[in-house]
Amino acid sequence: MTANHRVGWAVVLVALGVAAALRLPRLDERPLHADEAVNTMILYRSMGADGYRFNPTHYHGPIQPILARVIARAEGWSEYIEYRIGPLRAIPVAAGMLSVLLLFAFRPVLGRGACFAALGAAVSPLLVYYSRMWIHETLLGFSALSALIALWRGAESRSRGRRYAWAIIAGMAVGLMLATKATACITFAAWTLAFVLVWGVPAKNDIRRLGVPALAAGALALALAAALYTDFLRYPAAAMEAVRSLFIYEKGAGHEYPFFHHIWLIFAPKFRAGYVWGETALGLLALVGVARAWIGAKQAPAQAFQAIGVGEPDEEQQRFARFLAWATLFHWLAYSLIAYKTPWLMIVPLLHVILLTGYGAAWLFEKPARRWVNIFIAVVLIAMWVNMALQCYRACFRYAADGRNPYAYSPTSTDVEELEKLLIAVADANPELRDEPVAVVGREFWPLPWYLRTFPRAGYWPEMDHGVKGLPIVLALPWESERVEAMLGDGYFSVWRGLRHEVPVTVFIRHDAWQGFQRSLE
Amino acid sequence: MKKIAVSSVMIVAIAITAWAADTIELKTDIPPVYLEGTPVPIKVANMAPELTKPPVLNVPVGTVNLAKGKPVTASDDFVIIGELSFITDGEKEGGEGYYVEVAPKLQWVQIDLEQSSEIHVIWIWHYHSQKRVYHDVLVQISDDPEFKTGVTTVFNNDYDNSAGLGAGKDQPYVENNVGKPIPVNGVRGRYVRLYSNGNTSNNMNHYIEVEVFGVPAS
Repeated sequence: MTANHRVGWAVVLVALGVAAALRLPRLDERPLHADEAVNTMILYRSMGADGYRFNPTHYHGPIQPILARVIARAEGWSEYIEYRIGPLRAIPVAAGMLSVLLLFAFRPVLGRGACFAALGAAVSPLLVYYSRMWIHETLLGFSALSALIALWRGAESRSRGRRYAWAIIAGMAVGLMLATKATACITFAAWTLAFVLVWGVPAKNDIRRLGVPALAAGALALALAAALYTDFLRYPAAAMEAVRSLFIYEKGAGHEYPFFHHIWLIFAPKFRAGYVWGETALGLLALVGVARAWIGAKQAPAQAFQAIGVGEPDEEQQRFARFLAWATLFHWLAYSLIAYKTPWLMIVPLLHVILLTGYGAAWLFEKPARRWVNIFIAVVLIAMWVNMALQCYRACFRYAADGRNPYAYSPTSTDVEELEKLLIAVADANPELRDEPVAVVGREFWPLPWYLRTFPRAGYWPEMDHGVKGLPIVLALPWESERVEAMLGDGYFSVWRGLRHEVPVTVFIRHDAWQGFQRSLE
Repeated sequence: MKKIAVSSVMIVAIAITAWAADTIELKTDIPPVYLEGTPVPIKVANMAPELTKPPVLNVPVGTVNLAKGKPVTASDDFVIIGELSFITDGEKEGGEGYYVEVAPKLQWVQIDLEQSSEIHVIWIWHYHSQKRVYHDVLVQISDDPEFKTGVTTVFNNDYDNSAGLGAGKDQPYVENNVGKPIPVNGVRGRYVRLYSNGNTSNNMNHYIEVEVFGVPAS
C-alpha cells in the first residue's frame, strides 16, 4: 500500500467516522416532525392485511414504508403504540452515510475532489439534519448519487460487460429514485439538459454503443418502480397512478416562499440563537469548482495557472464538472421557480454543489507555488469543516426542535411531550376517561396522533363541531381555539401547550376531570 | 353611634390619605415591541389577559430597582447563549444579544440583592420576540441563599406540579414586551429565585431582564 493509498483510506475513515458521530447519536430524542408522524401512520397501515396502498395525491412514493416494514417486523411491532422513532430514523441515517461513502466513488471522474466532497457531505448541516429525520429526501439523495455515478461509469466503460453491469446498477438506482419521490423527474430533466449542453446530442456511434444498455437500465428502473408502487403487484393499478401522481399531486398550503429563498436558506449567513449559521463556505468553494470547470488551457496559458499556484485542469474532469455545474443550476432554477419550498427539497441540489466544492477544493492543492500557501489553505478548510460540524451539533442536538435553527422546518415543539405527560396524568387520575373520546379540533394537527397513542379513542375534527361539547379533553388548534372555547363554555380548565413552531394547542380539560387530577396531586 | 361612624370614616380617610401620600406610581421602561414570525391570535380563559400597557402599581416612596447590576447565579453553571448578568443589566430589548438562555427543563436563576430588603414588585421579561408561555413560573424570596428556610413563594403557575414544588394557582401568561409584573406586598428577603420549565416553543429557559422593586434597607 502506497502512502497515497494510506492517506486515501484515512480520509475515508475520517469522513465516515465524523458522518456517523453526527448522524447516529440520540436518534429518538427529537420530537417527531409532523411528516414523520404521518409516515409512521402510513407504515402502520401498510403492516396490516391490506399492505401498502399508494396515494397519488399525497405522501410521496412507496420506498419509505416498504423499507420500514423490514424494521417494523424485526422489532416485532404490531400495535401503533409499540412503534419507536429511533429505529425508523436509522433508514435515513444509513442513506446519509452511504451517500458520504458514494462520493468517494466519484474519484475516477473528480480525482481528489471526490474525497473533499465526501468530507463536506459528512459535515453539511442540512444533509446531517435531514439524515436524522425519517422522511424521503435523504433516500432520494442517495439513489440520485448512485444513479449519477453508475450512468457515468457505464457511459465511459469500454468493456461491454462492465457497461451492462453499470446499467443494472443505474437501472436500480433510477428505479429507487422513481419510487421515492416525484421530484426525481426534476433531477432527470436537469441531468438531461446539462448532458446536452456539455456533450451535445449523442453521436450515432455512442447510441449504438450505449443504446441497448441504456434501454436495459430504463426497463429495469420502470420494473423496479412498478413493483414497489404496486406493493409487489398486489395493486397493479398503482403503476398508472404513479404516473398520474405527477399531474394531480396536492401540495399543502403555507409553504410558499420567494424565488431566492433556498439560496438564502442554505448559503446566507444567519445570526440566530447566539450563533452564525449557514453553509456559506461550501457555496464559495463550489464557485471555485465552477471556475475550475471553465478555466482551461484555451482560456489561459499554463504559466497563468502556475502563477496563481494551481494545476492545469484535466479536460475529462472539467467536462464532468461542467455537467455538474449546469445540473446544479437547473436544479436550483426549478426548485426556485416552484413557490412550494421546504429545506429538504435542497438535498439533491446540495449534493451536486458538494461535488463541485470537492472539485474546487482539490484545485487549491494542486501544484502549489509555495508550501505555506498549502498550509494556509488546509487550515482554512479545516476551520470550515469544524465550523460546519459544530453547526451540525447545534442543529441536531441542542436546537434540534427549535424554531431558531434555520435547518429545522416547522419543528415539533419539545413541549408536545409535556402535553402527552399531562394528558396521561389527567387520565390516570380519572380512569373512566380512557373510555371517552379525546377530541382534536382543527386542521394540520400532526404529529398529535403519535402523541395521543395512549388514547385509542382520539378523534379529529377539521373544524369546530358541537359534537365535541361535553367531552372531558378537547384540544384545539390556534385557528379554532376561540370558537371551541366559546362553544365549550365555562366548564373547562384550559392551558396552552406547544405543538409546532408558532403553533400552540389549547388544551381544554373538563372541570370534574381537572379537579380529579388536582386531587391526585395532593 | 353616629359620631363613632363618622369618626371611623374620618380615621380611615386620614389613613388612606397618609398612605397615599407615602406611595408613588411605579414606573419602569417598557421596551419596544419586537416580534419575529407570525403571532398566533389566541385567548384562553385560564390564561392571564395579555398586558398591552403597564398596569398602575403603587409602591412606597423610595422604592427603587434593587436588582439593577446585582449578581445573578443559576442552576445552569454554563449558560450557552448570553450571560447571567444580562438579567440585571437594565437592557430589555427583544432581539438576539439581549437574552440569556439557561439549560432545558426545570431551571432557576437567583438574584442576590446583597442585603435583605422589603420587596414590593418583581417584574419579569423572559422573552418577547415570540408569543409564548413559559411553564412552571415560580418566584420565591428568601434570606437563605440555598432556599431551604424562610422561603416565601410569591408567584406559582405550575398548575400540574410538574416542577415538584407544589401546584400553584396563579395563571399562566403570554410573554410580550410589557413583561410580567408581580405585586409582592412588602415581603422581606435578600435573594429572589425564579424557576421556569421550558416554554411552548422549546424546552429552553430564557431571561431578558428581572427587576426587583423595593425599599433599600437603611
